[in-house]
Amino acid sequence: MLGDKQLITQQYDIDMNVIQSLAHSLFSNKQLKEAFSSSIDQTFLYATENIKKYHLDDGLISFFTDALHYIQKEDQSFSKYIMYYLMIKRLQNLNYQAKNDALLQNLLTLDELKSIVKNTSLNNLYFMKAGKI
Amino acid sequence: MDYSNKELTYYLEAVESLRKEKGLSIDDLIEDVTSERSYRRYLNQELPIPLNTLEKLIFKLDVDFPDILIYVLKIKQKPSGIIEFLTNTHYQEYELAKPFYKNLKHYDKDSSNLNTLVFLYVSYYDYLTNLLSLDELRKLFDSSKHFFDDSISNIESLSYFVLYAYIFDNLTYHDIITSSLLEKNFYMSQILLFDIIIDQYLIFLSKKSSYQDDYMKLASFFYQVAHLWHDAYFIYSAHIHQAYQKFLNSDETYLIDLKKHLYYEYMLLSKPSTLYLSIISSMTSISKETIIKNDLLEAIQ
Repeated sequence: MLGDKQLITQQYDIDMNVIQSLAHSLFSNKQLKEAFSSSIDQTFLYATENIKKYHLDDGLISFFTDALHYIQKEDQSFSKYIMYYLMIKRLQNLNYQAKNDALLQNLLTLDELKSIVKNTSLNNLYFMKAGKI
Repeated sequence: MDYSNKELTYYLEAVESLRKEKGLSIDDLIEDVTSERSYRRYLNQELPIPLNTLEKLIFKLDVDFPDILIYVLKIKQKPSGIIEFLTNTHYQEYELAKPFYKNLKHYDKDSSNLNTLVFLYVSYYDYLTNLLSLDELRKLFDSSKHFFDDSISNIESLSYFVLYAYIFDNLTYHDIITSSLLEKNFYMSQILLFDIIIDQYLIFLSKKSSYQDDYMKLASFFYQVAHLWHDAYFIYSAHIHQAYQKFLNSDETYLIDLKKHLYYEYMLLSKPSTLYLSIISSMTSISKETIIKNDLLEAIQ
């Protein structure tokens, strides 16, 4: 899971990889990113609230990697994506250390990261949203 | 293994379909496994395919078990929503179960024992959402008992007796339930239902200290099956039982499985689950949130 093998699912209609690819295309292009900058949060929110279950494959970490690339640090959702990113990284590998992660190093200091983890309530981080699918 | 099941034919159809996709000849596929005559008879459902033969064919195809399951689910899954309803109900996702509940409330499209099982699950949902008392639920279970085979030879009966054990807090059928879970190979023919049933029974058994040996046996089996199929829900459930099994054996690595279970919970569910709270509190007094927060802080040292 979350590694070499794709997870199976009972529901196929919306695929995490499709959402991830869409987000990636949208935000990897500078002009598109600027054009849609006001709706970045909504796009990710929509995507995370509409993902059908069990697609915890590689697309999920790619999705949050993209999110961290394109979301601004000042953005309200930044800490939430950091938390998801860390949780998935840690689930993939319980020896994962943020200090060895080039992406995070470019985004914030370890102290800033520690502050986010300490101050974010995990009760708001349950990924799947009931009633939305 | 002598056991065979007509439903394994679905898996054989997947094997045949993947064989063609891969351009493999029948001769290459069946070499050292079975004869061409038997293979064709299995395909035509003239002969039930033994599980070990099926496993060898899947191995020869060099595909993952999940590939086979995806085929079966896509092609063969009944669109009734029964599995979705049972899964969401089991994992306490009552809002997600609700649309299926409405469709299944007067379900009568299958065999009498499956129809009855669906009716009982709908009633169980009513109980869980406080629309039915435990006494009323027990009465419904008692009056439906004759629909199910107490030798537990099919998955519907297994599901009924596991839920019966839980609702009545009753171990009368423990031995037959355990042997059915371990020996009937429902993990091949009915994996999606099997996952829920074995998890239900393990949660029930985890509270019975004099049945720890059987709990550990079933937990270990479930862990293997879950990893065979690579399904996130199965793995989520299997990790907590693996953790508790290790805890009972004084194996300190139980914490690894517990953390994995909790990370899966955040990724798979819409809200905190109380399903495994009694197991978790048997292992630690630390809250779920603190366990995960501490683990994340460890990653930032």
